[in-house]
Amino acid sequence: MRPKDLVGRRGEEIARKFLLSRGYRVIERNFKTPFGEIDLIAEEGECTVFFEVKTRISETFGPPSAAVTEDKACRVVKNCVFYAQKKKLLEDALRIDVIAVTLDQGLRLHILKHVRNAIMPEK
Amino acid sequence: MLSKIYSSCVIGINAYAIEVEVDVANGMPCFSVVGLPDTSIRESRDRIRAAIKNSGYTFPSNKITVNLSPADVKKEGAGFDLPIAVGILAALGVIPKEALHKTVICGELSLDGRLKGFRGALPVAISLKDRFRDFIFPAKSAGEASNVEGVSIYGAKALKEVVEHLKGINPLGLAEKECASREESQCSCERDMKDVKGQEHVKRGLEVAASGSHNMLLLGPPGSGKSMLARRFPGILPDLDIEEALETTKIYSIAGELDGSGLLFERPVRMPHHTISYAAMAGGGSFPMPGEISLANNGVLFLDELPEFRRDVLETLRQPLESGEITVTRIQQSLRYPSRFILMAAMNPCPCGYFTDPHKRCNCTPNQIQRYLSKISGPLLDRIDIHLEVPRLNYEQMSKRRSGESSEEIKTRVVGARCVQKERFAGKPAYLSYNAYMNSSDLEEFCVLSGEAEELLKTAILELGISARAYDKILKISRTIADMERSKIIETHHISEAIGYRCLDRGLWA
Repeated sequence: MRPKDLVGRRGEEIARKFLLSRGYRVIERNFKTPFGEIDLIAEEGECTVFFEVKTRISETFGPPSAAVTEDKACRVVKNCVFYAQKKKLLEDALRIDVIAVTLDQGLRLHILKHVRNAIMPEK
Repeated sequence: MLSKIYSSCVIGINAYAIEVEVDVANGMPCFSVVGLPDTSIRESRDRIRAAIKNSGYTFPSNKITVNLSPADVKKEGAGFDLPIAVGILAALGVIPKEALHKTVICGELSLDGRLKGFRGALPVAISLKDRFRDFIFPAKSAGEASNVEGVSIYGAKALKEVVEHLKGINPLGLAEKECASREESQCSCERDMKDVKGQEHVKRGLEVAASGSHNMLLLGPPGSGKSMLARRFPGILPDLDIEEALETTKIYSIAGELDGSGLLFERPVRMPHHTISYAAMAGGGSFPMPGEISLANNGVLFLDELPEFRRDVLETLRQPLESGEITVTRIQQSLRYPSRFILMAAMNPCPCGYFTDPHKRCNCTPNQIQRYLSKISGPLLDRIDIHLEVPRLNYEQMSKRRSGESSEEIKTRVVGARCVQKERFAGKPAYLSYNAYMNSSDLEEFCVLSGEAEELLKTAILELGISARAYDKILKISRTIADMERSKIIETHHISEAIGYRCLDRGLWA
């Protein structure tokens, strides 16, 4: 495993634990679709929430949430719509959140930021 | 979770009711606006989201669909921010839906939830007063609309105030009637006719033009006072009556030039520079906006240095001068704006300016003069009733201490002369309000000449070679002069004065 993949995995693990501690029910991890993968899928009450987790070990090049560009957002939406269609969830409450994790050099949690409803499809 | 709000969109000088339907549903969160919105409405999504959040409400993470109906009318303007925001809150149940049936809501939002003025509040209130009783506008725009009778206009400063008003917690006050300019107009005439020394015949000419609403052209060498006189012309015109004021304010409201000043009772004066484009003069844009000639409606359009204007700009004046309105046609739509104004033009007689001057030598060749004058086409000149020379003042006149009549005195006489015309044309078709608008059959009916006067006119035509067209103009002007003296019949001295106002017909120049 490449070092950067290791960072990603570590971030997703931290995010998952964070969600569990907040009362979310995690239903999928790294769900593969033809367009890519969804990092985490969880349920908060009635609402199905998709998570894009971004992890970095340095904020020199901006916070991890800045890495979710418009292009990335489009791909995330595509993945989520694919999942929602497959599970027939399109008429239910859905949401896409971003979790931005910053780690220190020893891969310990430094900052975790949860942005609710961060990505909105542009019709 | 569906809600329906009424808003409005101004097309031309009329406003149409637009239904804003908002649906908040489950699904992938998104915010879409359908129903032919333009870019400023599409962009409103981001303003609305921020404004709702910053007003202390929660913006839903749901699928929001906004429909502007009728779906086939193109909508433009930022006035839909507020109705869409209220619609979202109503769909969420924050605002009771019953409160929204008889209310028209318009306004632009800023990110912090405050309301900004929008263009066209007055036309909205006028056009929709039969269908709706309550109107909620931004406080800045409510003033101009408050003069419309039979409706309640509420002015709000922020989204929160509107929500609380609709919930019945904290009702908004009715907007106060504003007609600020009525008192101001008394003192706003800083430019008084009495400041002009000499030039008594020109002042008289201006009075005639003001009385009969005639178009006028002033010719003279540089520095003779053409512009000075023309700038003082609005000061001798009567104030707008309430109907004219509403019409004029409506156009200014659409053009976004009101600045929260309430109804305009002062006659508008537009003085475009001669570099103006024809679209700015006639009105234009993909959603055509009123141009200078429509902004001058019920007032004065002053064109200084007439031959310097572009040919196509001057030619656009022809149709509006004839019909009192302009039709601006673009691919999407064709709009009519009123444009009934008095054209006041000033020009030099030749490129160097001294052709008619008795003392200073003119360096222009006849060819140059011909070319200069031919910049103004015959058909345009036709539509100008009074042409008057403004000679240069000599030393005695300049140094005179005596000041002439004040604008106020002249204005009183002009009001009198206009009353005579109003009485005479009462019950006639709407186009016929002043002498200048008479057509040839009206001339036969209203211009009765005494025997001697008829004889004089005949001589003038034979001797001076006056054309048939000029004949009509002379009759119109003499009718006005007779009205100023309350004379029913046109006498010799009326005719002779009128001939004096046609200097371009007298073959003065090539």
